[in-house]
This record gives sequence, structure tokens and C-alpha cells, in this order.
Amino acid sequence: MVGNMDAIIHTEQLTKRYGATTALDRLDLDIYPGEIFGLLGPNGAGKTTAIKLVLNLILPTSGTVTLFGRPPGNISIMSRVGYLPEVLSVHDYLKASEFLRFHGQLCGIKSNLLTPRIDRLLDLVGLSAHRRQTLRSFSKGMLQRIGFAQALINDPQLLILDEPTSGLDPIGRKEMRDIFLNLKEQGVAIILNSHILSEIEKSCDRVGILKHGELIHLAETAYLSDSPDSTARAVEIQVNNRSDALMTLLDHACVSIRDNGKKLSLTLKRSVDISDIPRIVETAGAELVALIPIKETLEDLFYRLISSADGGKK
Amino acid sequence: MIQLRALIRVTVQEYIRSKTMLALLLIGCFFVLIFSCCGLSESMSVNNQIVAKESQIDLFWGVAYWILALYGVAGSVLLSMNCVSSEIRSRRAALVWTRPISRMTWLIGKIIGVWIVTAIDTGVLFLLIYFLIVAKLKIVSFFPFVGFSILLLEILAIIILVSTLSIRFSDVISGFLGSIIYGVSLVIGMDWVQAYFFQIQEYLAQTNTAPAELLRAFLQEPPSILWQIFFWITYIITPHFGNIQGIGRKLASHSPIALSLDWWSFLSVLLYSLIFLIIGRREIKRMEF
Ligand SMILES: Nc1ncnc2c1ncn2[C@@H]1O[C@H](COP(=O)(O)OP(=O)(O)O)[C@@H](O)[C@H]1O
Ligand SMILES: [Mg+2]
Repeated sequence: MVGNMDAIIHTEQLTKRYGATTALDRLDLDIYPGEIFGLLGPNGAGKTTAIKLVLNLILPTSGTVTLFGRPPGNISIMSRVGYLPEVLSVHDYLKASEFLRFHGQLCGIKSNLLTPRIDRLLDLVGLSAHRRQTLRSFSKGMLQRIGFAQALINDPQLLILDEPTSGLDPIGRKEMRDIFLNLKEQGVAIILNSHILSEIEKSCDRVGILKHGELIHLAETAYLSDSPDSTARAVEIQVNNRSDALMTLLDHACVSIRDNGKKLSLTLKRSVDISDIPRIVETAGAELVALIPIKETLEDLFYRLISSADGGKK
Repeated sequence: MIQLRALIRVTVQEYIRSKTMLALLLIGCFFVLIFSCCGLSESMSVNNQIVAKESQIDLFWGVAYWILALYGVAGSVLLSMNCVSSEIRSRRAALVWTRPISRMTWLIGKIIGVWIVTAIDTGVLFLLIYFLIVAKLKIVSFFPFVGFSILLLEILAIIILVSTLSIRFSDVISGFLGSIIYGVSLVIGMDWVQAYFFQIQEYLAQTNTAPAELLRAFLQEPPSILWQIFFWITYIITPHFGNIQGIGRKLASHSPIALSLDWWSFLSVLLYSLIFLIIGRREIKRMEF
């Protein structure tokens, strides 16, 4: 078996083309148990394509993907997977509880186990009062909730959610986020597609940014978020005696430098730590007046990457 | 097994809740009403001659099976031409396909679901007609039930045919193709072709079928070798849906021993169903969402 045996999902050079469009371009990715992985990218970046490949809803043009070490579409592993599609299309003549029962039975769950589980899930997504209502009468947000409950009906070890919070009100989003974190504690791996940055930032452990089908960035969100161990990658410095030597040294240490006249905004290379900056300034014979670490939000990172990758592409 | 049952139940529920099943049933009842208005009575006479009981049974069940087959086949074509394809088109199937079931199980679930709906509707019709005939003729026989179960087999085969066609073709086209295949098979399987080429001479003598005489005249006696080859080939390569129905009808009115059961008809329909299931399986395996 190739790859890491611990990974729940393992892809190698996974590629999907539709005619001239490359929807997903040589994706190498591993997803591990108990992590929430966010797949981020603008519309048409290939997020849904990646998910569908994992679920065997489409076939790869080239490359491989394994789910629990098996090829996707293997019937036995699908009982460990829950999926919420981007556009939920349901048997809308069914009542909420019947819909969950149907999916539970598709997973081979016996009736006596299923009944309490359905009650629990309807309660979890806040639809207990609507259990006898047909799905036809559901609002978009309610459909999203029942879809989420459906994805959880088989107590999955891997949860794949394509834009799960679309159509939800802020309270619904918060509730869903709490559920994610709860599931993660139980060791469930979650893949989350979204174009809502703050969503991903709040719930994900790792995030992959897709652009034109290419994975252009893969990072831990702890590195970006407000948690104490995070390291800012962006700093603002103010120096006296600015020299060309300083600029050359900084150039080596930074991905980008923006001169604001009084201040310099730096984005550090991965190899460089923020604590290296005073030494660099000193070496160049300049005087460091101020050093202000800037927390780069996912949003900053996202826009920076998307716009820079754009420059590279076109 | 839980999975298949769930798939079947949800399919049947769809037709019940959308009232399609009820609408079909009401249309069927209209057929029965027409049937009940024909000359059904204990003693029937033509030109002041009392018609024998056996001929009456033959006549009534002949008409009854004609109605039942027409209704069952038309109903199953109508239902099956979009039961599979609409599920795929609406992408409802996508979610189901990510469940631990094979796509084939899903296809079979849909097919059996439609079959049950059609069978219940046709079954109600059959029972109505059965009791009508029993009440009028005062003869209780169980042979019609055997004939009816053969009709159900025929309906299942049609559903397999049309619903697998609908994976590839549009709904209307697949319904149309299914009907054509059925229509052709009906002609091929019709008594006169059978009677002429396959030596059911007693049956021919007994009914003195007019079309057979016409055909005989048309093709000349003995028929040219080319005609014989043509008929043999068409007989072998076409599904004998129509003939299966014919067998059902004959079973209803005669004792089964009196019939030469045409095993090739069963076999050909079975083979066709199997071939279409295999084609359908290939189609949905390759399908992408
Ligand atoms: N069935 C299809 N046929 C042709 N092109 C497709 C198909 N599905 C997706 N694409 C293209 O692939 C790219 C990625 O789409 P998708 O994965 O849905 O993006 P998103 O990141 O918004 O989920 C888009 O450019 C889209 O137009
Ligand atoms: Mg998408």
C-alpha cells in the first residue's frame, strides 16, 4: 500500500479534466483522523471536484485516491463516510424522519438502533419539531440541517461537507461549528469546503487553498489564528538609518516588502522567525525603532495567495 | 437486504404520495367498467345458438387479458421511462450512491419499486375482472391467476427494458423504443406467425384463425426458403413479450396441459431482461455527477 497508512484520505497526483478545463490539477493530500480540514478557494477552484473524486461520484483523469486505504466506491468503506453535497437534492415527498430512516437503512443500520439515533440527530440539528413535515416544505436552511443530520446517520469516521453552512443563519453556523468540534473530539475527520473564510478559520485545523484546480497553499490554521502559539508571518518595522544593505538583507528574509514611507511592511519567509529581525537590522547598521507583529488572518493570506497566483498564471 | 428494501419502499412511496398510483388505478377502473358493459352473462347466444361455456371463458378471458396486458404494459412503460432517469437527472441518486450500496442495487431497487406499483394496480384490475367473470359465469377457476402471474413477469421485463433504456436515452425516446420493441415482439409472437411456422396445428385447426389463412395465401405454399429464414431469425432474435402474454391468456382459459408452452418465449424475454440489466449496470457504473 502506498502512502501513509494512518491517513483516511490519501491522494496522489489526483487530476480531473473536463475537456480543456483542468478542474483539479495533481492534488497530493492526506487527511488524518480527528482533524478538520478546510478546502478553500474561489468559485470554480475545484473544491467540489476534489470531493466528488474522493466519493467516486466522478472518476479521475489520472492519479489515485484512496479512502481508508481502499479505492473509492468500495462498498464496505462507504458505511464509514458521511457526505453533505453542495446542492442537496432529496426525495422531497419524504418526511424528515423518514428521510433519515431511509439513509440509515441504506447504511444497513437496523431499525432498533436507528430510531433513537434519528431522534438524537433531529434534536442535534434542531428539527425535532419538524420531524413529521415533508422535506418539500422545508426552507433552505432547514434542508441544510436535515442534510447534515443525514450525513451523520451512520456515525461516520469521515465527514465530507461541501459548503455546509450555506443557507444557514449565524446561529445555525455557530451551532454547526460546535457540532464539528464535538465530532472532532470523537476522532472524526472532517473535510469542509467553503469560500467563507472566517468559517474555515474558526473551525479548521488545517486549510488547503485551491486555485484553478491547483493546491497553492497548505497550512495549519493555528499558525494564522489568535492562539498563543501562533507565529505572525507579517511584521511592520520602523528603522532609522535605512540603507541599501538593509534592504538587500531584508529581501533575502522576506517574501514581500512594502514601503510605506515611515514603516516597512514585511511578510517573512518560512525559514525566518520574527525574532531574527532585530539581528538583521543590526547587522545592516540600522537602528530598529519599532517592531510590530501583524497577525495575518486567513483572509489576508487568502487574498495575498489568490492575487499572487493570479499574477503567476496569466 | 435492508438497503434494497429501503430503496424499494421509497420508490413505491413516491408513486403513492404523488398519487400517480391512484391515478393509474382510476384509469384502470374505467377499463373494467368498459369491460363490464360487454356481453357478459351466464348464457350467451349467437344466432339463437347457445355458446358453450368453454368458448365463453375463452372469449371473456381473451378480452380481459387483452385489457390487462394493454394496461399493464402501458402503465409500466409510463412509470419506468422516468423513474431511473429522473432520479439521476435531479441528482437525488448522487447522495444515495455515496451510501454503502452498489449502483446496481440501486437500479434493481428502482425497478422492483416500479414493478410493485404496476403490479398492485394491475392486480386490483385483475381481481375486479376475475370476480366479475366468476360472478357472471358461475365458474371458479384458478388458471387465470397463473396467467396473471405470467403477465406480471412480462411487466417486469418491460420495466427492465424501458428503465435501462432511459439511463442512456431521454424519457420519451426510451418509452417509445420500449413500446416499439414490445410492439414488434407482439407481432412476431402473434399466433399466426407461430401457427404457421411452428406447428401448433391443433391450435390453428381449433380456432381456424383467419390471419393465418391470409398469411398462408400471401406467402404462398410452401413459403419460400427466404421467408422461412427471415421468420426463423426474427423469431430467435426478438424478445417474445407479446407471446408471453398470449401464453398467459391461453393459460387463463384452458388447462395448462392443453397448451404447448413456448419455452423460447420465456427464455428470450429472460435473456433480453438480463442483457438490458447488464447494459444498464455498465451505463450507471460509468456515470459521473
Ligand atoms: N461536469 C462538468 N463538466 C465540465 N466542467 C466542469 C464540470 N464540473 C466542474 N467543472 C469545472 O471544473 C471546475 C471546478 O469546479 P468545482 O470543483 O465545482 O469548483 P468549486 O471549487 O466551486 O467547487 C470549474 O471550472 C467547473 O466549470
Ligand atoms: Mg463547489
